[in-house]
Amino acid sequence: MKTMLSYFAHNKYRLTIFGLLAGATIICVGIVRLRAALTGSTHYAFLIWNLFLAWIPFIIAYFTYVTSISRRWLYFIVPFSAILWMLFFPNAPYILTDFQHLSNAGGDIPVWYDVILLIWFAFTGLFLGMVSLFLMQEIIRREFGRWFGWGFVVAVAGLTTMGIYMGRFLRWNSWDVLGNLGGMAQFTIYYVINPTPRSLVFAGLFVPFFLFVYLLLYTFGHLLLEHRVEDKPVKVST
Amino acid sequence: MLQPYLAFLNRNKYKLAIIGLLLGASFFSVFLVIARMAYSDSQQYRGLIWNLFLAWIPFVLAYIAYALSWKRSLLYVAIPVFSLLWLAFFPNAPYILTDLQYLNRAAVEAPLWFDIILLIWFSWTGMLLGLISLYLMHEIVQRNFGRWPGWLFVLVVSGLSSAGIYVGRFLRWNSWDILQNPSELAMDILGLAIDPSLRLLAFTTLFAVFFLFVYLTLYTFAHLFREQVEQTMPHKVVKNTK
Repeated sequence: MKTMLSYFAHNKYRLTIFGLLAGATIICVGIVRLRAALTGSTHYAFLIWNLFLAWIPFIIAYFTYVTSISRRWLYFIVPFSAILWMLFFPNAPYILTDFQHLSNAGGDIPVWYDVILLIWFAFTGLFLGMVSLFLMQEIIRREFGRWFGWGFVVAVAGLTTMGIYMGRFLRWNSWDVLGNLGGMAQFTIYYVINPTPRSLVFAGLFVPFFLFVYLLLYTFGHLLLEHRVEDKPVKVST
Repeated sequence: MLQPYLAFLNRNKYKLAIIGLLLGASFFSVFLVIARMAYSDSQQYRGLIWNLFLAWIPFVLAYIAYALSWKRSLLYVAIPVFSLLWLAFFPNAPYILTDLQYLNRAAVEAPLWFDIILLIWFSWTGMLLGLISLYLMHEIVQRNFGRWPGWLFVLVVSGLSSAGIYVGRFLRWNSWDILQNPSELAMDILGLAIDPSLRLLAFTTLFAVFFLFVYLTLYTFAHLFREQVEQTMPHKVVKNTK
């Protein structure tokens, strides 16, 4: 009992963030359910699936983070789960592009309801992504150093944008890597060699957005540290 | 000669980085609207620049209030004035999220995905401006009155700003009508309070809970980060010598 309590105290914020995201997911599902009850249409039910997909990289990152603490597992499990994580990661920020469904909203329910519904989903998805990215960055930073950690974040921002583009415009899924690796690789290489204006502009606008949000969250964390140092020094038991 | 400036920069590194990030994001957002206007010859979304400017006002007010709040003598004179002014302008920051509704009118002059990214840039910049200014105000309240009054403050602001967004979005009032048109605004709000519509209740509840969720997640994420630094990089933490 005592060890369990100290475990909770030790991981207070990690558990709180997990609880917050789980709570937000439940509310998201509730908002879609309420919409279905009010209108009798099952529109936006696919968002629940998309949010479920956004949870996969979060869980992989969490799992990887925990196993990476013990050195023994590090070199076996981490590379494998990092690739799996990268495959599923774009699903988290992908939900932002679901705002496109607002273009034909307003038929069965007021537009403002759908706006709030999509905001709930998009923010929950992006936060799931940001927290899981932070966990992965921490693993890299610990093993290889600070600059590799940031290089990793920039690389992920680029790859994610590519992933979102492939999902939104070319309609590929994360699991096509298993089912149709050849086709997907061919397609991707073709697109990298022959970029369209659309793909270039999309990447040019989305990569900085992703980095901006992540950097802001990261800096905000540091700001808190700065305050703590200013106000009252943190007690460190040695 | 540069020494004191450099020391100041170093001491306020992260505060300045946050301002820099938000400024950069604001410029980027404005640039997107200008690019859209150049590309399409349409004035659509120009209003967003004004809305983003309004979102900066509470941020600047909170920043000044925060800086002043270290001086005890000013605390009880300047802070209440700043807080009221801050509260009057605060809803403008999360308000930009409701501008996503413009996606409903499918524009023909620019691709839909471009407008989505444009609106996401504006709405996230506005929302983050709001969240950080709320955090600064939260800190002031917490430092002077304690932990629970601090969280109560956050709760009240979430509710009030959701109501404020509603009043702005559906009844078309502005922050400055508090000074320009106080009696009419008061009558309108009184009318809403006596006889709330289902729309008002649903909107305010969904939005207030959303706002709280985002603030709490940001807050917890930042603490998670701190926890991480304390556990893995203890040299970064100042040791308590007492």
